[in-house]
Amino acid sequence: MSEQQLIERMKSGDEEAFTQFFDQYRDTIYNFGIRFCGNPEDASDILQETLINTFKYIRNFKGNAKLTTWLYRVASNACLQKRRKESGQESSLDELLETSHDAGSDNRYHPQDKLEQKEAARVIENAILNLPVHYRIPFLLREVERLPHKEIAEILETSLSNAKVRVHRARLLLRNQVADYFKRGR
Amino acid sequence: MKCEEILDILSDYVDGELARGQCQRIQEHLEVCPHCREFVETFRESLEIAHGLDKKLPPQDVCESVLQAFRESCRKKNN
Repeated sequence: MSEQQLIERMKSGDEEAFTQFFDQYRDTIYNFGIRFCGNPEDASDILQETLINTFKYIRNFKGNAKLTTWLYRVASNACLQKRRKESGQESSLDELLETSHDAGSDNRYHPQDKLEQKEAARVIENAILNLPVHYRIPFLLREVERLPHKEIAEILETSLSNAKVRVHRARLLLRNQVADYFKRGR
Repeated sequence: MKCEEILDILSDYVDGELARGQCQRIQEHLEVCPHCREFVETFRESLEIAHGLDKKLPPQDVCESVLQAFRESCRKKNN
């Protein structure tokens, strides 16, 4: 089924089409959610909220953006909503690492390198969670989801220059948080 | 080029979005400024690690419960 057909079927309320949509995008949304909030429970809520809101609002999808762009917008809103509801309760990285399933990792490195890599990843994961929400979402879209600035601007419903500024400031904030860690490693 | 100027255009620099002349001016500055050199290295390094973060997948039971909740919400909507 093409994306256009899938959208049309979803617009007509076809539950099977939503299930297919869910199977196609659940990993992306969950990963985005867990990187935003830092724990599997909230990531599951974000996944659920995103699916339900997609069902509710798919009729508003005009087709002038990619479905994924629109979906990231819905998921970002679910993240923000979650944050508003439960501000102050986030960032359980240990839980994140223990209870989520990795999609597979690169085994080319020696155990010592692997350990250092894991530690560095944990430092960055924590630093991402410490970014203000206003910068965290653009950072995730750019550096984790690897989207172009233009698409980030569409998702955030802002100008290209504003999206670029937010990504840039997020990167600087993140770098400043982890600078000491990297200095120690040298 | 001054250190503050590099800070403003650092993202464009690492994204390869600067004109060749500007890149060259940055590189010349980095050769003589250890502070900026270190800053750029850690900036790049932090992004590279972010790019390589593992993708976290939802456990199967979560997928099932999300779909279940979704179907219930559809039923409520239809009733």
